[in-house]
Amino acid sequence: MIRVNIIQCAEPSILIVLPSGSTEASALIDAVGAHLRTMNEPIRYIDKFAVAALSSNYPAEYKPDDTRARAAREKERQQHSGKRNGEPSRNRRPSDVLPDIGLTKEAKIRKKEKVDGDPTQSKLNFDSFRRRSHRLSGVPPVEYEMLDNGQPSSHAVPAPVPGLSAAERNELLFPYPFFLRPEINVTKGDRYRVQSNDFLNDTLIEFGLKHLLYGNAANERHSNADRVHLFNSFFFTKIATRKGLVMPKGVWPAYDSVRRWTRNANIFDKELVVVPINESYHWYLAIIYNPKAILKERKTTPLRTEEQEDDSLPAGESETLKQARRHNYHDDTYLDELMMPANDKAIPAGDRLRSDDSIDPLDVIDQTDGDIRASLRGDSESEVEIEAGVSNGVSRMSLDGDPSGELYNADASFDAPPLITDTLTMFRQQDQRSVSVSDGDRSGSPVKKQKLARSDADILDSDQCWIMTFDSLGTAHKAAHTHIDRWLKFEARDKLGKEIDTLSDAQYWEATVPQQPNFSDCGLYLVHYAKQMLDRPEEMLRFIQVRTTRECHLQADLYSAALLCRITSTRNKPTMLS
Amino acid sequence: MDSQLISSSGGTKVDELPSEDEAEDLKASNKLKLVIQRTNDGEKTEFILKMTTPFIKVFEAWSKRFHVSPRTQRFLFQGEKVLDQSTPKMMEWKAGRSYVIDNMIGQEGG
Repeated sequence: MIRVNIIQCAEPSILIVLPSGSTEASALIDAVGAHLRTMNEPIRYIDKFAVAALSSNYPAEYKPDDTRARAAREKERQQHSGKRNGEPSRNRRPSDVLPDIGLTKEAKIRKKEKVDGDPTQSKLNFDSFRRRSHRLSGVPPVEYEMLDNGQPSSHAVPAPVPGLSAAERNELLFPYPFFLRPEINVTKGDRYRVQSNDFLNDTLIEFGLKHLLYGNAANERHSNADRVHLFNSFFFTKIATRKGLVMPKGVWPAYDSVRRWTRNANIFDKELVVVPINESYHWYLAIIYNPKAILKERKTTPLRTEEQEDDSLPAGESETLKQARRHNYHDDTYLDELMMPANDKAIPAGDRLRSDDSIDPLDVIDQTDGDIRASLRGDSESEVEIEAGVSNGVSRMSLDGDPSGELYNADASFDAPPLITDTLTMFRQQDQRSVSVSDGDRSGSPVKKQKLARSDADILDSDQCWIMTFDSLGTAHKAAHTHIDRWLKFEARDKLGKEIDTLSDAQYWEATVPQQPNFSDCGLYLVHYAKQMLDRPEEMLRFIQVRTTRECHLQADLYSAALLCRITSTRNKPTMLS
Repeated sequence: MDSQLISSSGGTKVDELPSEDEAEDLKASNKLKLVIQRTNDGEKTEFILKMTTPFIKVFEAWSKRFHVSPRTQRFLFQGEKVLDQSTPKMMEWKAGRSYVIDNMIGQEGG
């Protein structure tokens, strides 16, 4: 692995980076020197320190010479030789001696061109912002090269980190992407954050995600780059604002503030949309999978959300719902009753069969599968067994089309279209481990309660749009789903001219993923989740769509430990966010 | 001075396009209008700047005006970060027009 970097300096120069411990350095330098000599290009200067540094992995004390120091040494050498020749150069002003010494006329012209090349940039004189090349600023060039075994190469290990002054923190380290129009500036302060185990900021998260797509080299683009859309972390901040939530139907000021963010991309063509989210000093990741599925026409009555009151539902229903809003939502029985269709309300709530307080005999008979599932889960709680059994039985009944099962179907999750209101979302958030599952037949009664079931989703094979959250602290984020789902619909209306009411809903899934063992690594975990989703989406979806059992948790812990090793070894190398 | 703070209006509506006369003037002098919209209250601050003025100048002036550190602020144009070193010309903006940049507060988390 030999890389030859041409770095723009005042003089043309070549930097050769060799793997650590290479003994071929001097031989290679000789060869290059000989080649340059054959090209009639005189070698005026060989950076001995650089050669020494090459063989010793950039020690911390290595400070590459900048032009001024080099010129000063040249001057010293000149004076030394002058004295020896008996011609002390005392009349010469230092400025005359400075960098131009020893340069050919050609090189002088080149240098002048360099200085005059960009008149706007050369006028810049800010202490806090000065674009420098790495070579001149004393920073070892940042190398991203991975060794063949996939381990980061060792020469990027930094020395213990000294503190940075405010001005230094703001100093530009590099703009990224390297080979396209730069989109973010990574500063020394950002590098310091990584080195000192500080929280990651929005720039680093954006760099980490963009790095997954663009890589380091001009031709190194992720194979899925065209099928993935990245938002930055401010996108969710913008759409999650509470401002202007009470607005007429179809008006949402937060959407207008991000309407032009997607002017160059049709997100409904993408397979994955990545939305990093920052809330209360915590990073988590939301991924929209298969966004085009929301364009399918909804078969049942439109969503009722708080800001979208409509009259398509029976008056009695909407009255009940309003009543529900005034009521205590934590009362499951009451909510259940409310969500039942009006004609079912004749039956007292206590008589209805519900999974958590009574068991349908049919379901008990049919419980074998549920038992297996529950024992697979390794969960000895009888409640779980019953719940699994009931879900299973209900789904069979609906398959058989048993009309007497209709009543119980009303409670079943498998047929129910999701009813998403802010209040219901809040209610669901009470139970963090629960998940909403809904697919299949949507032709049932317009309003049904969605059961909170602990069962697996079928993300890969379902023909629906999924919004998944990946949180390394293991919290569900239904609110994120609500906002992103609403944004998807507004986006479809704005860009594709669809009616919001006709669009399908996106499903929510809380992915169970390795958890962070400390309070500072969630940003790195976020980038890692995104990397896994981009690199092998199918495998990842198969992994996360299964509710983890206890055994899986053990595995996850093991994986987490392995990941931690990887990340901590990576963490010392600020540029290796892979 | 390349960039010039001309007015500051508390949350009033600033049109995407300046008035015709103003646009002509700006175009004649090869300048454009930049509006920075503050994140928390939507307050808009207008700048007139040349096509070749790096945005760092505007950002520093803006930060100074609102007594914040430019390091903690982010400036987004249509969802993309506006880099300190870039200029309207590099963004392929046109003279005589008005552009709105969103100000956001830098985020961090762990």
